[in-house]
Amino acid sequence: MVRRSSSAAAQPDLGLLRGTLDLFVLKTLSWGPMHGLAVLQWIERTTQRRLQIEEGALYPALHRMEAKGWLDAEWGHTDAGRRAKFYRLTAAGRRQLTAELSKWQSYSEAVAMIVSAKEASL
Amino acid sequence: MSDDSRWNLRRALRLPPTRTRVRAAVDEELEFHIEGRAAELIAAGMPRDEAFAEARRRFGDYARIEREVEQLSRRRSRREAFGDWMEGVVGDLRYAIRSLTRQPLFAGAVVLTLTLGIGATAAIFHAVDRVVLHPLPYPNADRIVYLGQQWGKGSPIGAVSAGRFQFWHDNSRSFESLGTSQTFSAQLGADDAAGSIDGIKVTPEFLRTVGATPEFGRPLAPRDYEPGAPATAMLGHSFWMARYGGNHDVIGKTIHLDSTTYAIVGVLPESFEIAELTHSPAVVVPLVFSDDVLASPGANFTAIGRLRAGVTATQLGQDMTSVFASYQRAFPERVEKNDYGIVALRYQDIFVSDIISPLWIMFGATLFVLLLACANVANLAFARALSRQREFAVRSALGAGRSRLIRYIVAEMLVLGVASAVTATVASLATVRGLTGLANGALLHDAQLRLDPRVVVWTAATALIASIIIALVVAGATTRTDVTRSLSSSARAGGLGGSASLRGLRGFLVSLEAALAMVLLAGAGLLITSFANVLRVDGGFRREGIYTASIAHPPSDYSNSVTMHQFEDRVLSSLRATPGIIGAGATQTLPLVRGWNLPTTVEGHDDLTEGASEFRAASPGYFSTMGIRLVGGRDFSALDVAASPRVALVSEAYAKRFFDDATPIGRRILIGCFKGCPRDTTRMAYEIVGVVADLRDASLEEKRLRHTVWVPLAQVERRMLRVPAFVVRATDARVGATALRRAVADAEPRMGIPDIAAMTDIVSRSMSWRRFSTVLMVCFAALALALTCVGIYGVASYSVSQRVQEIGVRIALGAKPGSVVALVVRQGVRPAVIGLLVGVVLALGLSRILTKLLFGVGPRDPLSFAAVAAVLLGVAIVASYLPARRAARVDPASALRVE
Repeated sequence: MVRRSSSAAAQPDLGLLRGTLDLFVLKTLSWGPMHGLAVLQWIERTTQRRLQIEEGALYPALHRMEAKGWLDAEWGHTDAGRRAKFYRLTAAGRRQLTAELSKWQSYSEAVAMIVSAKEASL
Repeated sequence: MSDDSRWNLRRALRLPPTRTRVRAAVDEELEFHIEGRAAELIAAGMPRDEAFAEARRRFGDYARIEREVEQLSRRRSRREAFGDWMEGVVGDLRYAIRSLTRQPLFAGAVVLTLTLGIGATAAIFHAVDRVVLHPLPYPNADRIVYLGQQWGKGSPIGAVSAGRFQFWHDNSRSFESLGTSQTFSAQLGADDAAGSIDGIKVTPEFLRTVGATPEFGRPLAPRDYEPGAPATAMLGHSFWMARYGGNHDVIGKTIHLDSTTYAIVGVLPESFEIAELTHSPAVVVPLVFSDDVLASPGANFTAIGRLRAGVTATQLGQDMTSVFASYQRAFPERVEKNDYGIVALRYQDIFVSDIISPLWIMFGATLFVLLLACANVANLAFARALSRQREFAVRSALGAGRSRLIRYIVAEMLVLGVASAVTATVASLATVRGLTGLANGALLHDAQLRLDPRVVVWTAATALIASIIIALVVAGATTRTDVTRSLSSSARAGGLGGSASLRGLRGFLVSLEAALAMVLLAGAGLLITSFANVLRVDGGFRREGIYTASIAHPPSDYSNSVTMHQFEDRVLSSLRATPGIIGAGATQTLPLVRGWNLPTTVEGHDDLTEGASEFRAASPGYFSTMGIRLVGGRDFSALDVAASPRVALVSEAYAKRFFDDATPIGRRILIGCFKGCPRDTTRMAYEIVGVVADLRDASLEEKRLRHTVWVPLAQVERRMLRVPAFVVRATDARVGATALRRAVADAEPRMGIPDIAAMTDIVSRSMSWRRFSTVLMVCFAALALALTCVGIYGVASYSVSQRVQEIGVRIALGAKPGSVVALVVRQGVRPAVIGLLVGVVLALGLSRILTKLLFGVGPRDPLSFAAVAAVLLGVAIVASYLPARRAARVDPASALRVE
């Protein structure tokens, strides 16, 4: 979902796995309601720009999660007084986040074990 | 209102955003992102144009993302709107059920009314579906045709001899298979104690033609037809269940029928039915054509064939023409002048054709009943809606839009409709059994009547459509009221039945009911008159005290006239010696059971021919027993035997037609040929010795009297020989039946038990369809009358309850009770009278479709119309008199105090 077009494939890809973007968005929104750009900026800041994301791809993801009931959306105004669509995590979204997190945890642990293995012990 | 607050409000109201709104919102969201990014870059020192370009580059394929998001967004909003709507409907349904259970009287009345309307249509639909739409459960039934010989121009399909059938079979090319069959009844069991059963004999290709395969065991095979093969039989499903308890080990067991032992080879499935029997046959055995049978001219068979795929009607017609032509070449002596070729008809059209039109008429009548029931329910629902106007006003003041109120009313009616569909299904199942009984075997395949998915679908569909239409009509009229007026006005203002147009609508419904009832009543009146007229018809023969015995299948050595005649003599003399028997006789053709016609010519007057005459044979004593009047000359006597000169009697109509006023006695007629027929006519010549009264023995309803010739049974030639039937006139039914049974058994134990019937039953059976149509139409009319009565009463009594104060004032001002009654009755009857007049016009237009069912009465019979109109008017007056009496008893003091 993150990479559907050739333009996305041309970008450096640090192994952004399918579904990972969802996890990022859910995690980000767990801090509070944000509009799409703010979500992206938050991810950039937190990862110190190590991940390159096709920015537009964020929006289908947001809408899909809204349809699934993980997010709720409402039009509001930014601090600067501009109209923007704000997303908020719903209870279902919070549950989904917990589930994704634990899945990710065990996956990354498994990866870590393999990568840090000293020698094959047969 | 600003854009976003409108957006948020629409969301809060769960309304789907418009199409362009969705796109605009998506664009706005995406543009916000790009602009925000660009602003960031500009703040970092990038030139404005470059910043925007970079922001767009980072964003990716804008058009694709826009499309994707827009799709998601639109799908979601649609789903949400639908979900919310459904949620609302569920809530409405729940509320409807709760509020209906609090008003069981209203709910009960509606369900009862709808059940009557829907149940009636469902029951008749069931019959229509079974008989007209899907008459036979044979696979590819449309390829099955029924073949017969046309005897005489324009005459119906006729039976043929075994020899002719065999020729058709061997020479036609259009059929995959061609078979024929013969029903029979036989004594079951070696000791004759188990009673008689109905079975069918079939030729080798018959079962294949109708597409019947055994449920288990094997079908009849060619080897079962070989000379000297052991007798084999298949069992019908219900007989097998009843007698063998559904045991599969019947294969190889034997069954005794009429002193023959058959080995059981297979069992047919439950779906196996044949059109000739109203129930599935108990046994199916081979029909073998011996050389004797093939040579016999006795026309007892009709052929049934399964067309090869792709054979058109034209091809079939050509084939039949050439088959007939080669038959003529092969057997010129067997082809008579009145052989008009082979007729082929679609099998499924044959046996039901005369019941189709009454069934459709009844179906139309049920639709009237349904419409009437709907009008009545609408009336009830109006009354209820009016009494709840304040509730609705409060709801709409609290923000419920008109569409919400309509939805609620629809939900309530749907609940009632579903309940009615369930009860109607049950009711129609119950009545269908009664229907088949009423049709007295004329409705085919009664064994198969059960909960049919098509009937369930029909019932559900009518219930849903009816309740939605009722609800929309009611809702459309009652939700239009002005909120502030309803809320601010007193109970009286609100209660005055809402608007005047609403009162008009209720009056219209009463008129509609009266009009529909009038049409049904007129139909019922005409049919009752016809029925009474048929009952009054004198067939020319006695019915009371007459009992008949028919023999289905005499042993094969009875196929010549000598043995048959001796048997008849033995039976008749033993009957005449029985105490309690007033008279006895025998004939080949019982009235209303069988007919038979043959061409006859007056000797020496070849020009005096007019197709076929009815051919009857009777024993001495038959006329006196049956009360058939001898007009002139003499009756047959014991001296008219095979060896004595041949004599005949002719009917009055025959005498009048062929001899004018001259006496026919002493003249000779040739029976069995057309003019210029054979070389030697001595065997066909009969001298007329008497004239008998005309009979209506083919059908009581016959308009034209048939020309009939009678010959003594003893002088019937072999080729005209039929199995005889005996009649007795007895002091009571038991005496008659016992005497007949004993006389036949004593004369020839191998004859099997004869089929005994009272003449009154035969007459009654001949009127099955008339009775069926009449009883149904009367039921529908009575139902219509009752519903209309309830409708008129309901409106009148509601209007009285709303006008208590006004009436109180009138009484206080000195109005007499009589004038109050007159006022209310007049108001109640007025819409009914309008409806009645409309109904008369409608009925005058529609009654023509009943013409076929009428007898002795025109479709616009003024007497019948006047009678039923009077009944309807009387009912309308009674229905509004009851509330009127209540109105007259209003106590002015308490009525005025209410305010």
